[in-house]
Amino acid sequence: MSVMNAPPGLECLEDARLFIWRPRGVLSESVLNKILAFITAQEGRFGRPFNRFTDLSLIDTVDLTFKYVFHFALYRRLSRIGREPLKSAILATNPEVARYVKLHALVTDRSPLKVRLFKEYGPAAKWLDAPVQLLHSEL
Amino acid sequence: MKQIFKPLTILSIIALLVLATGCATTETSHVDMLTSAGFKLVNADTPKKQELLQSLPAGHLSLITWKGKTFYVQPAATPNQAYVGTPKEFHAYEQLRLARQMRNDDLMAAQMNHSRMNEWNAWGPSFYGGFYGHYYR
Repeated sequence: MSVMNAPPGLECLEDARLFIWRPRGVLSESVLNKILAFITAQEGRFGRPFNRFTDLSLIDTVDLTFKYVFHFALYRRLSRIGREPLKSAILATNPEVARYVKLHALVTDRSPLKVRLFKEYGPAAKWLDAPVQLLHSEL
Repeated sequence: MKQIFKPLTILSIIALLVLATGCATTETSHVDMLTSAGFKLVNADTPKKQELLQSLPAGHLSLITWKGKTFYVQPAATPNQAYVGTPKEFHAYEQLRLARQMRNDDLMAAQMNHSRMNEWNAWGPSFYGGFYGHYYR
């Protein structure tokens, strides 16, 4: 099911309790700000944790800095304190993109937000306990 | 980055900085921290570069100066390669290491106290006006 006013490329699968986001083009601060605001609002709306799958394999360019991603991840880590654990699987095949995903995973390590980097759909689906077809499907 | 090792004849190691990475930090996560902070994996493709690398302790960052510039170098697990960063990358690495070592409630307390955050020197104004100013709950 798609969510009204969702950022481009985002799906909300309520039955699977899964957010899937497939951004394209440039991954920038403004793009991440939008998805962050949306995800935060949705978490409050549903009142229960949704796991996330982010497919960054379609990203052409990254326009991010260490400082921004560090703060982004720190905010996510702190915002999950005392809340239910959830998983965020991020697929990245580009080394530069993967670098930022690793940074995100390192900062959120040992928090209820479990972030893991994947290079293939299968292991990500297995970790999320979701059908791999869900992760492959396009909007 | 390639030129870092080039003039090894004038390279002098003025200090060796051994950085404790914490008992809970694995070698893998340590390398992840380096690369996430922007350290680059550089080949030592001449005998002089290799000689320098062999003089550096494995598993630790060494502070090196060359022509008045500071670099941080750590030999990689693979032969004749090293992770190399400038003070900018080292600062990022230190921020990352500190954030990982701090407990959540300490981070939260720091977030609630701007002056303390400034002392920690890890956050900028945009942090509060952005994430925390609008979204934190």
